[in-house]
Amino acid sequence: MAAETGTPTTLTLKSNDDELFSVAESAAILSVTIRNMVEDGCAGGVIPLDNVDGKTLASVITYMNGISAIPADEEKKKSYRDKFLSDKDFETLADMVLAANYLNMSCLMDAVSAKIAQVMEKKSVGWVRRKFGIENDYTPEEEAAVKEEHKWTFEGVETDDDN
Amino acid sequence: MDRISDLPEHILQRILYFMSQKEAIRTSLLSKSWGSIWCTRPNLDLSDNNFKEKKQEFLSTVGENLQRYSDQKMCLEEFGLKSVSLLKKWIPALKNMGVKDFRLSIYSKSIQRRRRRRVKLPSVVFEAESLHDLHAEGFSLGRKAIRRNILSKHLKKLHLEKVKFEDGVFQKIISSCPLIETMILKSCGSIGIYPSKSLVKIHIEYGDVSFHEGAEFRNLNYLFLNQVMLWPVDNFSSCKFP
Repeated sequence: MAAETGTPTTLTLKSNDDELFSVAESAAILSVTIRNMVEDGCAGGVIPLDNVDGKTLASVITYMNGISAIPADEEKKKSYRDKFLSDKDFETLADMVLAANYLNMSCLMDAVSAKIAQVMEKKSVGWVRRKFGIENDYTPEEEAAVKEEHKWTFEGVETDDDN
Repeated sequence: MDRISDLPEHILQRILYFMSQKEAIRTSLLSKSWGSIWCTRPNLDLSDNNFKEKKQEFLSTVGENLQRYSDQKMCLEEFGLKSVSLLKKWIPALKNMGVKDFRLSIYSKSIQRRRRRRVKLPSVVFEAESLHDLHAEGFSLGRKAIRRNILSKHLKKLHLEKVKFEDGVFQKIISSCPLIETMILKSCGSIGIYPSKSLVKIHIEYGDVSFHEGAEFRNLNYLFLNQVMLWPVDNFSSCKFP
């Protein structure tokens, strides 16, 4: 457990590729997973995070430090998140959302999910398939049936040649 | 499998959570594995604008959707509906489904009609115990609507725009919701603000606001007033803020 007074407690986190990171406990406990370990007194040595690689963990820690430095002001936190995610490609976002899930950080999970949703929105089905490399495994008949079932959702959307 | 389709289902549901109903349903065409993910996202947003003239089709869609969540015992966090006439029917349904925590967004456009009479907000709204977040625009709230007990004791966020209250109604709502933290009021006419231990954020635009004399707001950390007439000003200066 953290000492009541004195210098801020620092935790050491270890990624699954054995990189070590130091982070202030006050920032790290944004992760409920880490917070639980701290509360259970298991955070004395090194905290191994078996599902997160070093590159992603470095990014998550940048986020933890950035967001915890902002006082309770939802607007400012939101603009920090937007800025933080603005230059991330989809591969990075996918790593981040999985890490946020594993670390149980709902604010990061929501921000990344919203960002991915934003990429997919208002695009044709063909565009989304190409962008994310999704293989269309419907037969033409099945596809027509799905489309017919939800006809109204395709009204007013530009169609591609390939969908 | 590709990276996105390979994400765990609950993460995909989270992603779809941030889309409109229409956008979420369209993902079903991507591939077979996407076929039914939209059905289990934790929010439902049914706006009858999507159905225009097809009222009957809309009614059955709302029914089928709620039934599906109910059958599969899925947690519905958020429920958006733009048709007020259906609230009476669906709010009890939501309650029976054991919805834990729900948000309701309702809009009434009738205000633009002749005589400018606003639609009454049905009392059933405040009978939903699990109501967590209420966003309502364009209604009137009469004493009748809250004659019965207010059961939505878990209400944390209240966002009202162009809502007209009869005397005493607003105070009754606030005093019946001990957990209320956020209050956003826009163009709601005259409002009296009474002391509250739970309020963290007050945001008021366009209206006449009277703070109760000497009212204490122990947990308030955000107060925004824009185009608001404060009367009497002395009352405001006697309020205790942290």
